[in-house]
Amino acid sequence: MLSVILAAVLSPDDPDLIARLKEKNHEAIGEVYDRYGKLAYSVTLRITRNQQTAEDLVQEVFLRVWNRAHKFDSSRGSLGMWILCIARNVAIDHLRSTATRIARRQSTETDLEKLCFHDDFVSRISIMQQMKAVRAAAANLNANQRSVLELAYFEGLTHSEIAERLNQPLGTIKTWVRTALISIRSEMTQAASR
Amino acid sequence: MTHEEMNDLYELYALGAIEPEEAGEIEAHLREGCPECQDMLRRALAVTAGFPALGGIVDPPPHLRDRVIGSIERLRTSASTAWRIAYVALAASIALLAWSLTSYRTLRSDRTQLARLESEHTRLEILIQLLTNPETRTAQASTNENAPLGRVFLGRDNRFVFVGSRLPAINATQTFELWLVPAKGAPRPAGLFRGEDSHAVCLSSAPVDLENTAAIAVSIEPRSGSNAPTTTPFVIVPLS
Repeated sequence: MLSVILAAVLSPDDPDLIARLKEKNHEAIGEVYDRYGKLAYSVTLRITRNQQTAEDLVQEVFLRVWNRAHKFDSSRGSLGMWILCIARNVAIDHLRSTATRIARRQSTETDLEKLCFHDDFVSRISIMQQMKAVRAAAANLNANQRSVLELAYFEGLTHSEIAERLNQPLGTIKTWVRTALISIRSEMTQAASR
Repeated sequence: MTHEEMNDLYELYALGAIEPEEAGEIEAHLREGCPECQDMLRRALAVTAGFPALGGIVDPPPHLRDRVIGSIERLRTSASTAWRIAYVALAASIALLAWSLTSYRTLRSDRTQLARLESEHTRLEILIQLLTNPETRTAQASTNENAPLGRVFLGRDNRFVFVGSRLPAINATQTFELWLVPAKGAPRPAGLFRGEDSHAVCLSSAPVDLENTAAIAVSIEPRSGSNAPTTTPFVIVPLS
């Protein structure tokens, strides 16, 4: 699993591919799909848990990639992470729009894309470390910790919504999230020092 | 929310688990450019960047690729078609505008031409009526051999026709001008004409006071005409 993600995200961005994508080259979007389609599908399917919906959203993801390729700045992050962010965003937006849950701040795709490209935090080597660390840390998380992280990341739920979903006190949820994040951060710190 | 409290929330913010109100406060604080918080956010984002690894990887159905690429191809084609339509519409608009301008100019020219022809037609009708009317009187200048010859046809409606021959040559800056010469007083302008091959037929543009006119004279004047003769009339047709 991780190897697939790493292979996709760590594949060096081909400057020529990105250039052709920005020029609206039809073959380029096919190559981008071949490289990142599986990741986008996996994320959208994981979030929506519906195959048909995931297919619809993957189509939307690549339409966005096609329409916004001119905005992509490879100096600020990899194409793979950008597409992952878009995939997560469209899927969570879909959940929010269909679930008609309580009104909450609508995080726009621009917000998420900005998060993914915030300054210089995304570099290919750091992503490799991050994913390895997350995977290693996840193995040590208990079910509750893993559950709250997945609800937050894959479903875009807030503390309060997670508490409501799991029928747990808000303080407990915050503790689970915090301890999970501490565990992952600790694993990442160790990975960085190795 | 204090600065320290915000520092505890950046990972939750990056994860998307924070409450909207808290997120608004953090974003407002980040917009102020706090370097410490910017760094905290970077670290937090570094943690969450690897979270896709928490999920499983699933092969998409084979037909999805065709569907995705097909939708983009349709988008590309429709965009291209839209541009083509826009270009064609623009070209058609320009052509229509050019045609309209040409048509307008042609129409305006045609209208001018038609008005000129109508005026000429009216003038000829008056001329024929005047010349064929048995009540029309005639007057003629004294005929010296080789001298310019002038004849005037006087209608009952106080219009007149001047017919000249052996007229002197004039250049492009000159014209012939008719004068109504009263028994007493200064001549009055009665119209301009240029003639052709030393001949000319000139109809008075409007009825004139022939009753108080002793003679009709013609002189050479500047092309725009004069209010009083600037040269000696070379033809004088007495009306009495």
